Amino acid sequence: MIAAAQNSHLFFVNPLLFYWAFAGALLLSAVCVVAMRNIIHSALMLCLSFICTAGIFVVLGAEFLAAAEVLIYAGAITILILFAIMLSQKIIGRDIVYQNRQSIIAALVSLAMAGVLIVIFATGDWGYQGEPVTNPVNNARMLGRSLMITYPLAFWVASFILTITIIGSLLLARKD
Amino acid sequence: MAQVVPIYHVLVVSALLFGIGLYGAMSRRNAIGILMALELMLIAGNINLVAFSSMLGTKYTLQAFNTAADVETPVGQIFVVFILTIAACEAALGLALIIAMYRHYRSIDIDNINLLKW
Repeated sequence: MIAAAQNSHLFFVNPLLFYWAFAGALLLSAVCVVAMRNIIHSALMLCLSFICTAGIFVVLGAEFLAAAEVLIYAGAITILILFAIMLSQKIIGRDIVYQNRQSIIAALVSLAMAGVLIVIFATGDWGYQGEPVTNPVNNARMLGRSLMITYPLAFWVASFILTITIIGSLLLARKD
Repeated sequence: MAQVVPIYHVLVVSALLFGIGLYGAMSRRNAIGILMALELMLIAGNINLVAFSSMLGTKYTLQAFNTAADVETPVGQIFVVFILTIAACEAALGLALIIAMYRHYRSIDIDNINLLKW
């Protein structure tokens, strides 16, 4: 709360305002993803929500992660989803019935889950949230050094997983 | 990394996003729609992790092989790097499965996958 109080004299460049702009756009596009009839519109709204999370990452100080997320999610995964949609639909148009029979119960359950989480977060004591730390070393350098020096095993396992995924998805989607 | 957003704001948005993703995963009929809602749940987790990493700052982890100095690690963001990797893998494999399913059933309606039902 201290940083927010210190920054509240800035109106047009207030970070909290930018955060809520991105967060509001993210929530709206997420609702559009789950509630649109046309599946391609849904995929494009998903791309918008990825870009909004990249904005939130920039506000929270993770610039390299924002760029990586735009590249991987909005760049690769969105195109992958669009290709899969085009390879697997007979007629591209509006689905007649796009929700199954349990949509009302699903809405109640997810509302209850989100409600429980929000109540827990509201009644929890998050403690003193620290002084703002200005760090001269940039985000990419910290991530790169710690991936190579402290977490090399996880890095190598991730590369194995990527190799296995390439081979596995080729095998699954192969026409035989 | 200065912490400019109070942590509660980010957690509320992340919880709502997770709830929206959960609703989409449970109620869409199109298999690719379910995968898209699953991606929403994953980015909710990502936002949570980056918010906590911004709140707690960096951590000095141990050096390896006693050669380098202590490495300054934003631990939540390392987690997010691996979640990005695994989410890309999972999306690729899930879509390959859906293409295989389309080849068999000629439709990607999830209600067709009912061979194991009673």
